[in-house]
Amino acid sequence: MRNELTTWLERISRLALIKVRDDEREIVIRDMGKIIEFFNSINELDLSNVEPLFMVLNEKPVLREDVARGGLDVNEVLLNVKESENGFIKGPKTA
Amino acid sequence: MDGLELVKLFHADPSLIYEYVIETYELIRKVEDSIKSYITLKPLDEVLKECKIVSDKIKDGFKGRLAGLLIAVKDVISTKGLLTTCGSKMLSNYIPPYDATVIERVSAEGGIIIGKTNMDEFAMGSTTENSAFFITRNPWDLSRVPGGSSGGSATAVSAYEATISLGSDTGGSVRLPASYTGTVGVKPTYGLVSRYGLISYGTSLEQVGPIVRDVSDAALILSVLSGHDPRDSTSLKVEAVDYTTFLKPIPLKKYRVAIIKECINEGVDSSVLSSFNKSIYRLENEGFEVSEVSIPIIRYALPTYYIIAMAEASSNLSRYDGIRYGYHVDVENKLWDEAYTESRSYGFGLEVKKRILLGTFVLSAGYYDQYYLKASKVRKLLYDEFSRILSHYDVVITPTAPSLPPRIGEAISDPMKLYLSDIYTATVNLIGLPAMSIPADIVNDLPVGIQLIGPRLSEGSLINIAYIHEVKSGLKNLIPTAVRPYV
Repeated sequence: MRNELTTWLERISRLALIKVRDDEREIVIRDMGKIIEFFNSINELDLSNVEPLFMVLNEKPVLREDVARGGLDVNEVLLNVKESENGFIKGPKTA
Repeated sequence: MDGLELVKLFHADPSLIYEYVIETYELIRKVEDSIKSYITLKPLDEVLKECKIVSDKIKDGFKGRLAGLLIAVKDVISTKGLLTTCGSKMLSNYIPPYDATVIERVSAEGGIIIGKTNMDEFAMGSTTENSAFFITRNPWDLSRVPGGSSGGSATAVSAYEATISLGSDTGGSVRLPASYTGTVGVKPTYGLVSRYGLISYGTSLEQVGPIVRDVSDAALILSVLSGHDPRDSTSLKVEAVDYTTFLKPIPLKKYRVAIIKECINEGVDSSVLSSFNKSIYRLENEGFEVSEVSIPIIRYALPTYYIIAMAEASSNLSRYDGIRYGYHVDVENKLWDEAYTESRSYGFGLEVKKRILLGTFVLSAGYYDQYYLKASKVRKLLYDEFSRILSHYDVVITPTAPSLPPRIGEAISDPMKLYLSDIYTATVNLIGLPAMSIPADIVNDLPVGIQLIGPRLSEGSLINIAYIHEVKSGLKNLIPTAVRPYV
């Protein structure tokens, strides 16, 4: 079970782009086991003829017209950016 | 004096606003070091400048419904130009370039934002011990937690450090701290209050909701916050309602009350149960018809809630890449996935990481059907069951939490213990109904709350019922232990 959880954690960490630090690993593995067991309790129910409910709105979501409009002020947005060049945000390489 | 009464005074004599603000800051100076409600508190001189603007407007005839009132805001709601951290290292330097709709509405009515309150990181927690910065203490007993995740919003109001506060409620994050601090907390019907500018955790579950010291102020602030917002695609197309018209000490109709058998079982602390019974008795004396109902499926509500909340969290929090805002690592010579992973691994705290990882898991190939889809089906069963019950009853009443506020450190060490505090509140978020937590009793100098749940858009009736209960119990504007020497 422990080894399974460790392999599992590595796979999920890659998908979520989150690394669990060495000092956190023990706690995460212990808690994950407990929480997944807690999740498994819904398997007791027979849900074969039930439709899922994803949102509780009775109305259709409101969408605005697809027309361009002014965005946020570039200088204000760049206040939160650590690395920028000529009004553009500098990001890491994609390949 | 509550906010509704204060505003009447301020309309008549705006110079009183200064007196009220200075007195509030004086109290903050005395209690804030021990309670720690605020992550960011605006300096007094800055707030006095805002008072002058409101005061001058009143002299010119302005009748803002919140004119001059100090409003504390949970640090998950965007405030233009004012630090908004979500209680996380990830956003410890984040300055929003725009205001949330709720902030615009509060300001338009003359409300003055006093500061941003502490919270569990990204609203994930039930004790406010998960803040990346510091813990907040319960003003009724400094060795206990105030509840969470809107803990700072609850303590700011409970300790008279603000008159009204805004929180957010994804699974009970307004109602639980309201219950633990002897205040009133409202989770509105899903879609009644705009989420534009609320930093998202569980999109289909959460609403902005107020925390106040009495039911009148709940009616006042809810009237300001609610109503359609075209910038939130889930906002309901409803007309604004003046909820203060429901503040009547007599029932506006013959109310039928349902008590859920499964919510008053052996899992509930005996003092909570006896306080709950006292409240029900008060309402019965006012002519309320009370019946017991059974909802066996409710025992699956909590795992269902956590599966859905974590799934939505993993999606919502994928926006934090440390590039456009947030915890930043040097990107030079790094590939995109290395840079993102590094930012996220150092920017997020442990509880947030756990929830994102579990959310990623329940949505991943091979597990989606087993967890997320199944949970969404249980959600449907809960929705149908509550719809059936609320077609026969006007209100469902439960305890807000199964126990008294835990001591600091007591709940946080065990995730199951922590999650259990949401057992009565989280169901409501799954099905989008309105609910309120109101003070029911004081036991050994600790407050106990009860929760009123109504049909969709029944906030008016809930306010009426809560007001009747408040008049009969006298439980309003409570003064917690830590504040008593100063008022």
